Amino acid sequence: MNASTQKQIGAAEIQDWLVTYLSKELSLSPDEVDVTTPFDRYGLSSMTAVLMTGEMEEWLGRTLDPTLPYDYPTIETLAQHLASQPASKKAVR
Amino acid sequence: MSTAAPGASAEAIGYHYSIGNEFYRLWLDKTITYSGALWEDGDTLETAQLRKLDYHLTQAHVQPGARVLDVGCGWGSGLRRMVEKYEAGKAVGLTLSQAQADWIASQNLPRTEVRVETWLDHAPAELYDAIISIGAFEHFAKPELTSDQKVEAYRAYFKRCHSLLNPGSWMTLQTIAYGNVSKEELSQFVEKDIFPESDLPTLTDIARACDGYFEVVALRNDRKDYERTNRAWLTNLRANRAAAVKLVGEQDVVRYEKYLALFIIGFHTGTMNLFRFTFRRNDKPRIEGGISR
Repeated sequence: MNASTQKQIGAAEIQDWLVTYLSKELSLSPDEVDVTTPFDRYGLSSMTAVLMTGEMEEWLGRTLDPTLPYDYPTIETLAQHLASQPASKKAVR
Repeated sequence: MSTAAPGASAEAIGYHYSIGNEFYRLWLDKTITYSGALWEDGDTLETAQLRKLDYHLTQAHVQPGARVLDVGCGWGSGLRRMVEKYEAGKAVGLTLSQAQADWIASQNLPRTEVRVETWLDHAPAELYDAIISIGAFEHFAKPELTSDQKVEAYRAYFKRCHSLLNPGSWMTLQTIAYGNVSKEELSQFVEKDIFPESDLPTLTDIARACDGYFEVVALRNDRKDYERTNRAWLTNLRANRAAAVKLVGEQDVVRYEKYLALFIIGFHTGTMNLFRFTFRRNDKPRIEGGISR
């Protein structure tokens, strides 16, 4: 992971990113994606979780643990968690 | 090679390992141990792998001079440990990967023999005092088998081990197993792109399969240990990513990154378990008389 492009991004922006990603992934309109509904309620597979985490790594420019969507199981809690992490922190350890 | 083997073929095993020794050496530990480690505080990946090997060799009661069989010996870290630390009199390793066998042969380990052979075909001149098997059982049944056929395939393994062991012997088995998940839910990606022709056991499958031949003395589910192991591997692979891409190409590196991440999730959430069994040979198995399974 090239970490030279790390960004500090706020919870609202991360939340929007996740809504956009999931609405595309699940063929829903963004309005239909509820930020407080658990990912597994949308039928999110572990492969989708891996791909989503990978895309987020690219976007945020830092390493993320693939289990994050399980420990923070809604868009809201995941976005809050990611925004609270310093940009330099590497999650995969 | 048996043609009617119920487990993954040598070609299928070869598919996973043909990517080459050098690639695995980039992200496994120095002992090249490719299975879930046994972690304690302060461990590095290497010390956790050695701790795991010590656990198996201790549980299998390996004494100086013992004849020991390692079914699915990988790159030989278990063989090395049993001859160097436990002073085994004869260490025999079975693998289906020629690349692994060549690697072990190049190590010139004392009192060690490696064979490219399945356990079905293994017919040694002398019996063994102990058997260990770490991370091979996952390949003993193909996905298309019915539940009963799968148990039958596993049962053939326990029967074979029973016939290969001296009375009073001990045996260990470490395997990934289905956890809180249905077979359909577990990613098709793993079966198709990573471990072809391989299906996982359930705890019930193993219990039915060993019944009569072996007594279960201990069972641990250490899925968190395998989560941590996969995490260490993924960290290593990423740290050596440029070298890995140069060796096998971007596509294969991405394939392994995905697989390791999926396994981290599987062991984290409990869709997959990591079982470590200790067995004692039943010297008077109540089987021929019609014991139920």
